[in-house]
Amino acid sequence: MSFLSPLMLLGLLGAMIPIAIHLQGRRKAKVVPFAALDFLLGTDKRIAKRLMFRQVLLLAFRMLICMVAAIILARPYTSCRSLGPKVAQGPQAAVLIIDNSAAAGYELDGQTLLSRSLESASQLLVQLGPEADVAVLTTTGGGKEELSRDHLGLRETLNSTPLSYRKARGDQALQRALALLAGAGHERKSIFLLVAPTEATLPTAFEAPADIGVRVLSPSKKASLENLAVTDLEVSTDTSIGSRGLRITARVSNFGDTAQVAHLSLRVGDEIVARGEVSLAPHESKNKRFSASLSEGVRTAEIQVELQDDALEADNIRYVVANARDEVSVLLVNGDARAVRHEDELYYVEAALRPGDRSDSGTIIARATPENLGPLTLSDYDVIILANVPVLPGAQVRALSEWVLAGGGLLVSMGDSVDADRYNRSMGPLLAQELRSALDLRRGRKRSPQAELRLSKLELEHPVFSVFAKDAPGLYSASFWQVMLLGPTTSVKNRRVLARFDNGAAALVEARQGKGTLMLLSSTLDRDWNNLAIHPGFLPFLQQSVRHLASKPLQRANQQVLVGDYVPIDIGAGDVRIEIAGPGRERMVLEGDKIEGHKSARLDGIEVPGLYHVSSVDGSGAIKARPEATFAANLDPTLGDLTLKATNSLERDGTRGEGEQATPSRRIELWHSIAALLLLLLLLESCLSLVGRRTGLVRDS
Amino acid sequence: MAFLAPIAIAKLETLALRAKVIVEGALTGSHRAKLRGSSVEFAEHKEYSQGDEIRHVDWKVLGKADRYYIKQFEQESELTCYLVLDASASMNYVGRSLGKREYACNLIGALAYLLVGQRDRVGLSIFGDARNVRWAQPKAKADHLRTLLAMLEEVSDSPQVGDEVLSSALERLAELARKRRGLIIVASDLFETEGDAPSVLGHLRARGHDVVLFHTLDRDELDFPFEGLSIFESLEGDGRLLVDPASIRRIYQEKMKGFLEHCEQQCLSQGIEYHRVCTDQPFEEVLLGFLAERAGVAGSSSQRPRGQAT
Repeated sequence: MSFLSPLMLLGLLGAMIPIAIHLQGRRKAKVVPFAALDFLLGTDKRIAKRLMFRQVLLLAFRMLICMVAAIILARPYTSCRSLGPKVAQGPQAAVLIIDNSAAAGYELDGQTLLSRSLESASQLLVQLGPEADVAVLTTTGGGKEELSRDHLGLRETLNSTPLSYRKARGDQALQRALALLAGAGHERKSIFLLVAPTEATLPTAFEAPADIGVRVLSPSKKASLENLAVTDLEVSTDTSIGSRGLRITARVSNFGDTAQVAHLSLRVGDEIVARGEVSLAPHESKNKRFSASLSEGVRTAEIQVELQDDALEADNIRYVVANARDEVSVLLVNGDARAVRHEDELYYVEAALRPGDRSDSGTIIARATPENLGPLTLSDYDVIILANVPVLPGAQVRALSEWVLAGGGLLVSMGDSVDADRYNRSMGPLLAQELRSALDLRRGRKRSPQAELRLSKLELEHPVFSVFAKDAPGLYSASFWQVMLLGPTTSVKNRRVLARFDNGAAALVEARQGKGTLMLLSSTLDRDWNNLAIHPGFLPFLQQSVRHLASKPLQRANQQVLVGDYVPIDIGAGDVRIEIAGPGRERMVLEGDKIEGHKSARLDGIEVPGLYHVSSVDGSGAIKARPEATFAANLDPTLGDLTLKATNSLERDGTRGEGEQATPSRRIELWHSIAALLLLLLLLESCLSLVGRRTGLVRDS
Repeated sequence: MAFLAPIAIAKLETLALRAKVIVEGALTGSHRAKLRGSSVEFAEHKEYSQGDEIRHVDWKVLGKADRYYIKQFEQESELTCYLVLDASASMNYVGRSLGKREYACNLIGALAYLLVGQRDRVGLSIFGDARNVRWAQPKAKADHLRTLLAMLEEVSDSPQVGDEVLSSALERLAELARKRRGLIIVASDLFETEGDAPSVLGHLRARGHDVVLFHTLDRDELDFPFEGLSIFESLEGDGRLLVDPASIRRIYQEKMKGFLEHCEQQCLSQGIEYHRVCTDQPFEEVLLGFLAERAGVAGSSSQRPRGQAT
């Protein structure tokens, strides 16, 4: 132990003060010859011993207090070997680069990497000395972009350095540091990287000029940092559990060196609907699939998948917004309506499209006859099925054709009401292929297998048949005894035969017309020409066909962005203001020049991961929520990768200035702890005096 | 009744004069002393009952009234009284009134004056210094009073340094007075660290002596009125205690109260007449209290010691 003011040690002589006071007090006390006190109290040995002990203790405390006070004034200190970098004091320029990305929120022994780095930075400021020009930069783009000797201000900058959700860009921070040092007039220049050396914080190829020293001060001494992260999240519809079914696929990565089990929970809205776990080998990533069904009437879902808590919380959660499959609106045009239900042309179609008449079938059915088709607004429907419909008037055919070109899906089925020639003449734009003539295999024959056709070639990769197994027993077993033979045609582009009968005749033909789709079934949808309707393959066949014709196979998830990216927001015609509410209740507004005359506006300032809700305000001031524009902002998936790199290639010594002296040892002031001892002594002395006053025995001879 | 203050009496030149003033001050206009010499005086008649001696039958009354009455006589034998004065160092304390030793000397002197005046045999034992035993045989002569007062005056005038304990002095007295039982009057503060003084007095009582104790204390010893940091020096030993008196007053008073109650209880239980005497109490008051107590003793077989000073 050494002293900064050793002369103050003369104050140790102050220890004599209590003794002097004691002696002086004795001298001033009057002497009373008295027999009774000695008789009554002097015989009590316990009192005498306690009195003696207390008085000696009190005197010792007071002497110690005087001595400790003198030692504190002498400012004692000790030295120890510095474990930090060799830092030279004196005039120099130094840039401290601190990683404040979300990865720096990694907790190690109850302290985040960022707080460790900030502590190291504060110590560095002390070690560099007041003559050093210092700048503080962060890996996410913030900091004090100038060299300064205002160390007090620099400390304030350090203390106010926040954790950012942006990705660490160590390469950019180094370039900014080089630019600062290039303008510095000092001979000695240094860069101190107070970062965990990961792929994100340390550039793979960086070479500093020869006169600039580079030091990496990792806040972690460990070789690797264990971390689990949700690195991706995808949502798709899952029709196997209904029209509101969703399939959520979360990608989970283990960035650590030990195998781990990740416990995941799926939250839809505010409710946890599923949990699961994934076993992960070191540095392995796996997908975990969840299925969820939305509540009735809910078409938009805010989904998040969350990992159990680990050292780095920021990457344990990922957000996505998904829309459930839209319901398909189907118009059934009945060409052969019957009073007896099961004889009706569309009895089996309706049963297949709304099995059990369930509301979650995903299909909205409307019925019409060829006669009342005219007044209907076709754009209200996604799919129209013309079942055994006689030739329609030209205006209706044109309207239907335009509707198909605009994106509608039309399925035409045959029947006794269909006249091939008249169809070809009048309804050509609605046919995927020209009709030739009807083939009735039972005419003049008895019913026999030879008098029936069966499906033999299916395009199984096509969406209509993709749900069937290779042998498709529910379809191949169906019998067709009457079909419409199709003529050769070249007028329709993008025509494709999806199914054929075993005699080679086309059974189902698809053609693209503009944005829409035409399908032609060369037989009936009831049991007049075939018995397909009573086979198990009929229901999926018809549902897949309708879904395919509606061009709404799956609703894509809303857009996902990374924190720090910009987001394009669509602007409606009458919108005067766009409001975006973030996850932390913060609001961002786009208005005025940013949206006037634009179809899309750029939204910057996405700094927090989470879900952002968009609403628009029109000229009348009405606010309209826009759930389709809701978007999720997530962290960069590589952020959680805390695999530490070697820093040897990056670190180097700069040219040392004259008079520089490395300081391998560190001074530790001791007066704080000695002052604490002084307070303790004062407390003890007070307690002892109080006890002495209560018993009255103050001093002994 | 107004009495002279002890301080005032102490101003009288000789102890003989002081004793006379005390005794005459106490007896003038009050009553006759009940302590009597050796004579037989008629007291009263009592109707004869079985067991009474025939020789005490008053035949004259029988002749006049034809009834049997017994003549009762008051036994008045020559009293042997041993006066015991504690002259140990603890009695040297002098407070705001008379010193304990001087007060005790005056009190014993007055008693000697009174007793010799009644032609009782009076002895004196002054203890305190084992190397200088002062002892006067009990005698009833008038000039014996001068001897006694001279011994007391000598002790009263000079501070004593002895530390002889009361118990050893009383044992010596018991040996000297073994042939003749009598009245033993002790004036002491009972401050002794060895043995239990009331118990020793109890031994004398057990041997048939009539024992009277004047527990002589100073007011300071009762109230402990000292203020300011003080060094208390033991009068009998080498102990010194630096202490703030105000802060230990309560403890001291509690201990003193316990000590006094113990002494009184011990005396009560052993049939010892106990008088607690404070040095600011008039001698006459103490003497009258004593005489009144003795009258009670003479008139009743039960003896009830009682304290006076508080």
